[in-house]
Amino acid sequence: MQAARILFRRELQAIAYAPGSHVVAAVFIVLQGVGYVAALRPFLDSPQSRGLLEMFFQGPLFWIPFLVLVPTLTMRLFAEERKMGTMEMLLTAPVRVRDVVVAKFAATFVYFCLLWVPGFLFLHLHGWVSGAPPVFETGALLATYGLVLAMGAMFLAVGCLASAMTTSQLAAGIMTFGALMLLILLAQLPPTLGQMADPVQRFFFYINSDAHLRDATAGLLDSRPFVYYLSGAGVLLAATGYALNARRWRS
Amino acid sequence: MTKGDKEQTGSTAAEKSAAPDARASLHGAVQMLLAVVVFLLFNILSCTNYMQRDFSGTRIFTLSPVTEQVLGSLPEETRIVVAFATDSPVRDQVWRLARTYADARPGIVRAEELDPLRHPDAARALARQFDHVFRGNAVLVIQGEHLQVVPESALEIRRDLPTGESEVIGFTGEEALTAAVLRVAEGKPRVVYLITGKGPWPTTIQGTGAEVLRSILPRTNAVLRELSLDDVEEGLPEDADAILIANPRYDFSGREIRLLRDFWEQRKGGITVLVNPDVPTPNLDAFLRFHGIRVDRRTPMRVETTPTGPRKVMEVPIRFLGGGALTDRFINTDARLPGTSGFLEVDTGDDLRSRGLRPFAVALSEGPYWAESRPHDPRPEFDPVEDVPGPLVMIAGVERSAIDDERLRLSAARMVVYANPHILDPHTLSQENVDFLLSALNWTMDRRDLIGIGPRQPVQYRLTLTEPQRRLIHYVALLLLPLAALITAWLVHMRRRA
Repeated sequence: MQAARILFRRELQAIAYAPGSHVVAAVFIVLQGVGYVAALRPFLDSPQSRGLLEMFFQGPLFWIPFLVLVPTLTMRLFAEERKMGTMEMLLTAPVRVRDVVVAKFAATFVYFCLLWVPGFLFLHLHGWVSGAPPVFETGALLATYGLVLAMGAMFLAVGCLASAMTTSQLAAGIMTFGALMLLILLAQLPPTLGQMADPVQRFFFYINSDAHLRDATAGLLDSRPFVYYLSGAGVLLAATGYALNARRWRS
Repeated sequence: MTKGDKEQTGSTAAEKSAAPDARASLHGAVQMLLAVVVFLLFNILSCTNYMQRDFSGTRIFTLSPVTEQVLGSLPEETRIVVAFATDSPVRDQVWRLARTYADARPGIVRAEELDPLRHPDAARALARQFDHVFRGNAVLVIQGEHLQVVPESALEIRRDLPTGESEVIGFTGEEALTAAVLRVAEGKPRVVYLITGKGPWPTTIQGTGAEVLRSILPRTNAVLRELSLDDVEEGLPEDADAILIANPRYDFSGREIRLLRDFWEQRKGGITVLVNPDVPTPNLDAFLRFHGIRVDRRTPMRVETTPTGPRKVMEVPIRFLGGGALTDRFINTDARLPGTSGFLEVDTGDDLRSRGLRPFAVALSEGPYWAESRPHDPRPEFDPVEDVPGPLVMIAGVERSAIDDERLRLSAARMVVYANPHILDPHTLSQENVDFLLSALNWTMDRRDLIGIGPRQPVQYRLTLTEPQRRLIHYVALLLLPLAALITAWLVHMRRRA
């Protein structure tokens, strides 16, 4: 664990001292800002039956930045190290592959969490500026952010796996984006296919990220998506470790 | 060592190093397989063992105890097919509700989506099976060969706007869906007879109380029929589960009272009475008194001071008393009895006990109300000699053979008496009064836990910002924070260069 902690610190420093990280943050803040302003507009015109959270987190202004952000953060993690040959050096040091994977993932996840802080602040901005009560339920806010972070953990783990499977950052990014799109579109199949057996239908609901987000923004805190995303992140990180080890065994 | 020996030694070393690698690879593969198995097991368990917490403003993910009870008693698989076009504004809400039903009774209740336009084959198959014609959006509740259809209009309450459009002011999805599930499970609806011929029910622009009652009873799988006791010779109709006597202006004859008594005592039929506080009905009053409830027609009121002088307030806020299946769910309900009321006195004498009768107060007046004997006085004041101080019993109930044994309780006869006849008047109708009346009717019909489920009022989020406030938000969200991140990026870049 000591090695993992040191690697984690090193990874965080690398993120903090990379100008690109801050540029990514700036772009993501702008996109969140645009999403916030767009979500706020209907409330200024007339009373709304849907809360600000539902407006902010549903629709393309949430999903597109989210699905682009994850590959951007993860594509370099292992692919870059392997391309530059630093991965071999790292793995000959007295650290286990598991430590490397956990440290890199944890650092990226912390950065990912920090990127959502401005959005969290935006949701309170109109209240601070005008003194108006929030236009959402506080419990729903916590449920939504909890879900977004859990979802992010699994999606980042998908990115880690993709990055471990190739030496090309671009290929890793495309693979991650494709896998996430597939995951999200797959869950949309039931309405398209029509009637299907109950267990199959339940399976599709279980993995439906859009439905999870809709429920959370409406105020439902459900343990099932959390188990799905967090256990999914775990198994994908294990697969990442396996993929890195497999390359060592082959070479 | 010869070249051949060297080659042999090299290949042996390679084989030696390849062997642990193969083993590690195998171990890795097994570990990976185990991780996948654990992942699958975790998620399969999570599907059936999960926790939910509802943070929504109107508790949209929480089903009422009534619905839970109805779903809990379903004996066989029930399908809830949400046949809505994707562009319907309430589709998401209805679908979410159907899923909540399915989650509440997994394996028995199944939620399905069907867009008849996109899946005409599936729609045609359903239509053929149940001889159903798809006309607009609807929810289909299917159990075996039985089908109940809930049209979109039954899922929401709309109000017409002056502009000619309408707005949704309440979502009655749970109420309508539970009623449909109940209908499909119970089959034949219960029958409530409204006793007519005792004076007309006051008619208002919005209609009569009978019309209101006719529209709300189907929510609990019951129907309203009218009955004049003049037309009855031997006994009340066989299909009568309960009767409602509302605002009688003329008294009941001895024969009619006997019919009521037979219905109550022998057939264990439910009776609900909305007493007319203006007109004495000696025979009906005696019937009620015989069962432990005395009607007093002095008027509950209070006087409030206004800038134009004192004003009499007849509308009585009431507080439900706990301790019974009839009222427990209403303890914190803020209900009011509109218009003029009388009040009731509950007799708890030993002779009633010996006859197996248990009369009890259901709701009391709340606040500084007293029963005034001269309500028409311009400046009424409480007179301890002539008037009765509050709290006053406004609703009372009677149970016959009511003992704790669940099996015997099933054969109890039940009666509820209101000291107010205006709760169903369309212009003073309130959700609380409708809920409790449905509850009372169901209680008298021995469906004690089946109360009306009120509609959920949609939460309306409003926000007002001045132009400078708007501008400030735009600056902060679109300029200030992104700029701060960019400046940090530039500083980091400069530091790295340095």
